[in-house]
Amino acid sequence: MMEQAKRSLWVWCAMSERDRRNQLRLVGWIFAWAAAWVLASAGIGRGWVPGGAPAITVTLLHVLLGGAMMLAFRRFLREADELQRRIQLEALALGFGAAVVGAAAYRLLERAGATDVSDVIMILAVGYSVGVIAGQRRYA
Amino acid sequence: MKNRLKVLRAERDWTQAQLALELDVSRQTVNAIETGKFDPSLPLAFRIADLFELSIETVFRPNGQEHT
Repeated sequence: MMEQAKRSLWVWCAMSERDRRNQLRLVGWIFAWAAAWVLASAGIGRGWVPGGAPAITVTLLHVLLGGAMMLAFRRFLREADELQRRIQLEALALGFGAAVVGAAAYRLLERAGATDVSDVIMILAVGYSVGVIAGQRRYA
Repeated sequence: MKNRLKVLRAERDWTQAQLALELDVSRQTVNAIETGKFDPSLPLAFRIADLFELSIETVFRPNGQEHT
């Protein structure tokens, strides 16, 4: 555990200043987008936000934050050091693959009568995170 | 691909951080190239060779070929 923490710290320190800055910016937007999704979902689902224009406004705000998150990710990739870009590409491939396979498997399970368990975003996020961690470890 | 980056850097008494700064890459990248975990792109390989004022084949060799 201690060794893992040391290695993570080394990877963070060994990144370029630009990559660290862009990654922090991206993480900030991801949290803002996720928080907006949770609040919008709870607000609309529990009736705190009335239907119609207020619900559309809340949804649009969430979409805008998602757009900002995408732009931050694109900037991170464009300005990233070539090793960092390789790590991200491999992680995205893993995340995307896991999401496609997971979504297809969920579909089969639903047809087989399983409860609604489809959460593609979660599979993608977990697959991507595993890919980033594995890549950082491989090239550390 | 094999390379002499670590030796060349040591000859000049540079740290990985200094070399990374010169090449505009991260220290992680310099370390990964030195340990043979990552092969640089052709533009970066040329930048490295230029920095050491050597030809690219003096710095990098395909696997199985030794540096002379």
